[in-house]
Amino acid sequence: MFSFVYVLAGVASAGESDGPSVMVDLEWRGIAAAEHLSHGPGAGIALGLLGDHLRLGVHGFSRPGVWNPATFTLAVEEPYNGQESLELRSDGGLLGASVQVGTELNDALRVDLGAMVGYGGFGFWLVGDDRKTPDGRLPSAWEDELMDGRDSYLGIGLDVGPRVTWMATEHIRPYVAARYLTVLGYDAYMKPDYNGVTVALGLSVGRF
Amino acid sequence: MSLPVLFLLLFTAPASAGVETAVGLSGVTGSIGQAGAVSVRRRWDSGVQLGLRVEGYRARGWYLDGWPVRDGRAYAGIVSGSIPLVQQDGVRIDLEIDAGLRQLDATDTDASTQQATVLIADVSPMVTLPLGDAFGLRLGFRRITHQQRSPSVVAEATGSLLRAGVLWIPNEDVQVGVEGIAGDAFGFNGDGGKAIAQVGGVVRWVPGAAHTYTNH
Repeated sequence: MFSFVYVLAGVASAGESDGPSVMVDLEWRGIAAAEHLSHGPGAGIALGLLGDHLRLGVHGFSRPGVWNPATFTLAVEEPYNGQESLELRSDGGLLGASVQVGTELNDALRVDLGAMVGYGGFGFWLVGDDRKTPDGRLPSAWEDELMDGRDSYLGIGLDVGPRVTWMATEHIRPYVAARYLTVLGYDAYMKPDYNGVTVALGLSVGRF
Repeated sequence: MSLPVLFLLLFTAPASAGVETAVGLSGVTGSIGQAGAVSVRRRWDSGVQLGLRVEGYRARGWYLDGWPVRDGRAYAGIVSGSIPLVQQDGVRIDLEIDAGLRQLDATDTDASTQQATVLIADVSPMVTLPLGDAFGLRLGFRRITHQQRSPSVVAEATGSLLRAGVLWIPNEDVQVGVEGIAGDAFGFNGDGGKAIAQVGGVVRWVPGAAHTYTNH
């Protein structure tokens, strides 16, 4: 991300009113993946090239487990603190390079097709009193044992789909984006994949 | 020339045309306790800024080696900078960069040690949009990368935090800002905190240049 921003600083040529587009995207996503619904924040920064038809940047989003109440039942072979099953939460996210190709449909709307290739993943973890482990070891040690070392999976992730931007003002533009999410080769004990669809509502702010 | 001498020269040299000095007092409260800071910063005519910030924390909801810290104190020395990406009427976009060290002294923790040293490296693209003559809207995000260096080397927190705030400029010498920040924070292989949510404020003295000194 540091390297991209240095390039951005050079190309943006601070102070020139007719310079390339530079924008910061801030969004909140609804996520339908791994057979449940969740949500979380996303953000990125991008530089517009080729008449702003091509936007290159860095983008990421996350799904904080503490903000998502969905739990996942793990049956245990040996009782854990007297329990034969445990309720786990999940979290994760992706961060990577983004590419968007788009055009203005009219004076009000712009449509883009975007793709983010990044690194990240999703995992599952003990919650509440279950984090007080039977032998006093850290919860991660038990999560590793209970899920055969596959409590989470990290890898290359893809986030692809269209985006429609309402060019409401000169510097603040709301958008909605639909994306297909996948983590390549995902293999966690609790879920065979974390594929799904996300819908982002966001604001793009900057110089367009 | 040593770093301390360089910084001494930077911030005690008389201000010249196009160079502004700002002194700030800030505070924040939220899911990981409370903190206060004193900062001093120089801004050059190009829009580049460089400064120092000293922070003190009441550390609640922190983690040390993956073990919860129920209470403690922490202190940090941060070199803060800002690089302008866009500067024009109606909008400015700056890349804020913070780098430094933080020392934690845990008074209530299950960890086998009570002290930790953390290396901080944060990058934050921020957009400032004027709202009339006296206000500014600030939107952006902060990418945090905090690495515990002792007692063990491990990622303490990584994540992206959304930032939204308002800047009030009551006169040519003072800025007052409030800001909310929230997002994910993953660390200690999952044993650390999971998210951060905070609100904070800053009062900044920028003699004669409060309207031009429109970020941070």
